[in-house]
Amino acid sequence: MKSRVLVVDDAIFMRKMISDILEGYGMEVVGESDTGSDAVEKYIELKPDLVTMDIIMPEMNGIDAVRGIIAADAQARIIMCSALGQQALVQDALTAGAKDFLIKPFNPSRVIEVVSRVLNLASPV
Amino acid sequence: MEVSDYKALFISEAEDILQALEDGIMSLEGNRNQQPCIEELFRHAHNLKGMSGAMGYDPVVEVCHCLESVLDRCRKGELEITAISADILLRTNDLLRELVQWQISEQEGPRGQELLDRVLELLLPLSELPATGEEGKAQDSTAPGSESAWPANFHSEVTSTRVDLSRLDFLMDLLGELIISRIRLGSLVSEIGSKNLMEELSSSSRLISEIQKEVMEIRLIPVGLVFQRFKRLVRDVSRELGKEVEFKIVGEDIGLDRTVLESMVDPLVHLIRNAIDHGIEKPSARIAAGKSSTGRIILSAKRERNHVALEIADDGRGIDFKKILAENDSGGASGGSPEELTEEEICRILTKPGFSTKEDVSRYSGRGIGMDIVKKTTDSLGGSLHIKSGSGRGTTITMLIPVNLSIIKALLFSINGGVHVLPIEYVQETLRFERGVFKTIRGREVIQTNDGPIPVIRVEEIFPSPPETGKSRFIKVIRVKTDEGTVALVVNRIIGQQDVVIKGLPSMIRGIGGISGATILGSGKIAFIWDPRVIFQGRSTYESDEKAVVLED
Repeated sequence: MKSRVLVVDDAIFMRKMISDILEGYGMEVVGESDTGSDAVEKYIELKPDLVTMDIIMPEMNGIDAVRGIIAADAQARIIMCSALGQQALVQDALTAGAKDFLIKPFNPSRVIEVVSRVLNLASPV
Repeated sequence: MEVSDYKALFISEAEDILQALEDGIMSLEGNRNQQPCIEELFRHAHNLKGMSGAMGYDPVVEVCHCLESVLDRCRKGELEITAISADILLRTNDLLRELVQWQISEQEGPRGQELLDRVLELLLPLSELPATGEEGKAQDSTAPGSESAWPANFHSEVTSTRVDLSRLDFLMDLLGELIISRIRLGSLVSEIGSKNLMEELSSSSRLISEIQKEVMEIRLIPVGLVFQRFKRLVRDVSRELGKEVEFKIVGEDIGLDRTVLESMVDPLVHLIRNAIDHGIEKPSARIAAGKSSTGRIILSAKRERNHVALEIADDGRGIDFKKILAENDSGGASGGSPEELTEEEICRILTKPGFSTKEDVSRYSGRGIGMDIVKKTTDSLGGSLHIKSGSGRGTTITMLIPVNLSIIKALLFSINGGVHVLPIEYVQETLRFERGVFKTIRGREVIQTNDGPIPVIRVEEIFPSPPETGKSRFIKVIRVKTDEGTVALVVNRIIGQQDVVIKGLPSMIRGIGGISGATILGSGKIAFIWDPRVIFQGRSTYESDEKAVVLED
């Protein structure tokens, strides 16, 4: 079965780019969000296998969104998408429960590598 | 997917970001709670950086990075945004916009570096980044949840989808072809004369017009997209001229065809500059005149059936008609008294090429060009210009613009076997006369109507064609009205009213006066669309002081 992904980023450009990479790898992008709060709502509604999460967004940033999602589903698989120089923020996100991170601009093979690794993490029993 | 596949998306989103940056920087000034604005600016700069990085637009990345650092310092309270730093940020944004345009146009040459140098020169002193261009190590810190002192529309719900404009254009083209094919089908069906076919065709016609209406509405873009840019213009011009102006925008959501809206930008810029430069007085003069020191300019859009009224109103000093009459010895037909000038006369004087009321040519207006360009633009779009002004009471200028330009209602008629098209807004009525009712006044054929005699135009006067040979008892005439006056055009046959799809003219015949475009008829033949303002120019007047002489036809 296709893995279902929720893509979160406030820039349409970035959402399109990562969606294309994931779909090219046979995944299904089931939803997109452009704010952290919308991401939490959509996660609860869609129950995706994976979330790619931007950090700097309006209304609720990516780190708070990770907290919100993890509070709803401790097993959620979230990958942070950050720019160079945001290490401190990525660290916060990992502490909050994100599983891994990607650095923008996206390198397709790196994206696939990280995504596969996160999806292959032991499934919750 | 190749990186180039994302270019269109980049362009459209980068444009939005640059506009959001500009609006945000302007709202920083005089705003007590700057923090949420700065967070938003930071986010926009950050997004543009990320997108540009993905596209490989390194100079844009560098500028955005620098801008982020400056905004980060503001955020931490190390730097205060004053009028001066807002100016620097605005200029940065201008240069950034130019740099983005330079990148997306894929030009070569030193311009990119030049832009980059200029913008870094502005920003680096504020940013505390090393000036050597060495990779900035500034740590981006988190953006805490922002309060909403920020205008609500920044977070408006996403309920729409983006469609590439070229696809809408293509859809419009296809629809045009469909309408033409429908018209041709119509003429075939009427040859066959089958009632069932006729009925089916008319129901599909109704559907086609529904689709047409829908597609036309989709093509409309809200005028607010363009109006927003003028905030900056008003700010800059009023500041430079030492005037206080409150600028208000009304009707941002009104839709106008994209191409129409684009061509309205220059006229609007001109009118806004005029309003600030000529209209709004200096604060001291306003107080002396018993007004508040801050002037007011309202830019509004209003839908009026198939037209949109774009209006610029100021509460400034108004137009001094006495002075205009004295300096432009072109008094109205009413004898030249300022009180008696009609709106049309005011408009005609103000839009004369070279007209100016300004003694000194300032940087912003008063060069003696302008109003005539505004008039030309509205004319070329099939619109009209209206000016209302009173001394001391401000000026209101209204441009009535058709919502859509691609498909128009028109009257089809034939002359010497050829079919011609006249946009319906110029047609007053169609008439039928018995031969012999034309008179000649001073060598000019006229026809008597209830509103007095109007000149008769025969096609031979317009383009070479054999004189009419048919000797039917009646003569058919289209009464055509332009701004200049009314004429009676003699035609062979009036075919009727229909929607026509305007096709552009090929370059070799574009610009021929009097022809505004072409359309394809049901027969597959091409017909030209007349521009009566040009064709009948100078023909709608006649010497009325001569005695009428009856002419045998």
